[in-house]
Amino acid sequence: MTNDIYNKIYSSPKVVFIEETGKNLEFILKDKIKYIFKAGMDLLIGVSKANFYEVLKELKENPELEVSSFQSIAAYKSGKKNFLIINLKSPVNNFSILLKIEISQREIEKDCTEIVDIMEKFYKAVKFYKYRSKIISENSDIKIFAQSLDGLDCFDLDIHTEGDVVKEAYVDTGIARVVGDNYYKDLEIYNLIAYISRFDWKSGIFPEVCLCSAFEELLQLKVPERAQYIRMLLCELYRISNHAYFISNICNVLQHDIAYNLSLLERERVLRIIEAITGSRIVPNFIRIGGVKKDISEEIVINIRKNLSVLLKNIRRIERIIMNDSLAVERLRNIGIIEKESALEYGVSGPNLRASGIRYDLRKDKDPILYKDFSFTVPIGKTGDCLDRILIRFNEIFQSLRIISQIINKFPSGAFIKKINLSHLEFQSGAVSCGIECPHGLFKIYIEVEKSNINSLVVKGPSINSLILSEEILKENRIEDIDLILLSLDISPGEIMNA
Amino acid sequence: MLFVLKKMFYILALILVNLYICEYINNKLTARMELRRGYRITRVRGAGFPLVRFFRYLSRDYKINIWIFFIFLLSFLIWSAVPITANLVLIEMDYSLLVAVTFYIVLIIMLFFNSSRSSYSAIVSETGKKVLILLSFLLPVLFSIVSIVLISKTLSLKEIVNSQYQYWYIILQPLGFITFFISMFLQLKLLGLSRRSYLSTGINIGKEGAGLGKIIERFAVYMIVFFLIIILNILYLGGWNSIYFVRGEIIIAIKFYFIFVLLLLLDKAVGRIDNYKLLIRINWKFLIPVSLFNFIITLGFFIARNIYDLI
Repeated sequence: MTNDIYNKIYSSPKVVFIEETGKNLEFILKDKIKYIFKAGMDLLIGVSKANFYEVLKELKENPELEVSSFQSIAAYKSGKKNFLIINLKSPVNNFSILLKIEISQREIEKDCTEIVDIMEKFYKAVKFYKYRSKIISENSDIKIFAQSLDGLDCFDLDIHTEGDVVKEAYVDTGIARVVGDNYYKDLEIYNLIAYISRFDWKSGIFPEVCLCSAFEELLQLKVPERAQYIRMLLCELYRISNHAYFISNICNVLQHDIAYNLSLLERERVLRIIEAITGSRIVPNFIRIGGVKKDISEEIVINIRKNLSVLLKNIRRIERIIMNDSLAVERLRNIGIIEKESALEYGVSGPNLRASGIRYDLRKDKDPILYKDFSFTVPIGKTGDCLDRILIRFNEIFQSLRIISQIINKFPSGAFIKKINLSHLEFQSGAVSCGIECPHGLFKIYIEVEKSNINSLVVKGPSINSLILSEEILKENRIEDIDLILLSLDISPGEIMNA
Repeated sequence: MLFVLKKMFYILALILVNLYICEYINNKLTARMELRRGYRITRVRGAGFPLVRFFRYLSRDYKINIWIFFIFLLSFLIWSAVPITANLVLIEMDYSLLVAVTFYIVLIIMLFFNSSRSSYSAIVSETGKKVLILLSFLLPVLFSIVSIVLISKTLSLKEIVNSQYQYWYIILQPLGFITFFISMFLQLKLLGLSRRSYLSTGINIGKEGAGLGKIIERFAVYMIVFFLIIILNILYLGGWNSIYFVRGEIIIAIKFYFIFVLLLLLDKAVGRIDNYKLLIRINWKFLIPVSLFNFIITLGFFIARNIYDLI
């Protein structure tokens, strides 16, 4: 049934499609749920703990729904009540849902373990969220601490080996665990925008864009076209800088010093452009609700136009240097293979998903900015090994350069911000979830508001899903390939923060 | 007795001066290859850099174990058997080639023992693997050395050089030279020539070791590099034989630095190889068969020439 709807409605605006699916879901899960409504790009479903098993069973096993992909779990506090929010997705029918479950204050731990136990029957990835320090200590014989892996200082790795081959791997994110629920409390909105980019320090603009888009959706605010274009320009610049950093990290592990330094130089070139636009490099604090902080001058546009061709040439050169080195290619091929099915099951998104051959990009699908104005392709890989993941990044850089050149050529005139008074802002009470395609994958923010107060804010980064899957893909690989495989997943430490 | 002490002083001075220059070239060349300017705190284009680095390491605390002591001793003892020039050798014997190779093998094994000080078992096992591969790379080297011995009919390094007064053995043994050079390059790759040695530190490059122990480890790696280059020179490139009116000492210095810089450039251009399968494949499917083929041909010639008097 939903397949028919999918075929029928795909070309029409996204909202209609989601509402249609919502009605169908309401019809199917009639007695078992409390409420269902559209919250941004997702469907929010309230479920009681007693009905949770049946709802999950219906969602997973009903051939019309096929909600087979696990995305995330997060616990949060709204007012005095505690909630658990579970994000699930149906890759076949292309819709995602949020299950919201209330937990009693007194028995938080017991309730959470019960819910996780139920979920583990349907979704394999959930076992990561279980209490399992005993299993780790019994089964592992080598412990790799966080500081010994360059660029991945957010988790410890325990491995069980036979000879050189890894038999089992356990990721322990305890080192990165921060109480992230309440850090937005007593914060003004402009402070929140300044702080949110700490969640992804490799490409700081994406959390800001995501948060501001969520607020705009709540306020039903239409953003000026020029502001959207500036946002897209910055997003693509940050994407290039992130991918260049990724390539430099890989070259560092391969000890390919020439490519390592060249890619860092290109990152520097992009960061200087970003600095000229925003005034800072890592945490831009540039996006505002209804637009951006500053306008882009003509000089900066000329500067970007000058640098585009240089960037294209230099990155082509780096690609040639790495791919002509048969030793490097030999090293990267056929290690850390991600299968299509497991990638979807574990909710991996972004370039890691595309490397295993699935053409899914939020920029082409449900996009909060104006990517539909531009022509670009979504590159995909074949096997999903480390080599494919690196080639995908190179191709994405070229596509980003293509988008930037189109943006510069048709920059619209007009206002760069729709001015609103932040101090007297009043929302309709409700919830919204907004997502954006960041360089690591699908970055999501879920907000609940009541009048001028933000009740709760849940941030879900894409890196955690790749990290959970890394436990599976490290198996049957050799010890010396561990750091290469983990780095090829492009894990951003900031996103692991409140996992 | 005084004569021996004088010789020892000359050898030590030569080694230390070369060490200084090589460390300087190494630093500058790697910096250029990495698009950096290199170390510039000291004056005259960083000429005092190796000295500064030496003192910096020396001032750090470090527990010294017995193996470090042996490594230090052995890396000097190598030069007692290997002649640098015609007169610069402490003990002159007829089988100096055998002694030199034995010293080399023992030194590598000592480096492995030294790595067992690490508290990480993974590092020790990793190093063990690397040492085994490194020792397996000695097989092609030994085959090519034996072929040279068959041609020159002697085990003395000095006589091998003297027998090359007409033409260098690279002309007679091109295959042997190629296998010797490649296996030497891969050994230096494993030892870590242009960066901190990762033979003794395993996965965590440069994150272990400091102080005097680090200096001695690095010193040992340099000694191995010097030893291999000198042996290559002696076996294939005519050693200290003079060309026209140029003295032999200058010729061997030019050849030494040429090979050293070539090795550095190659080391930088090729990334890290810790894919053991690949290394083993290169060794057992290319280097060993080729060197064995070379050895068999040489043996055939030797038998035909010396036993049956055919050629």
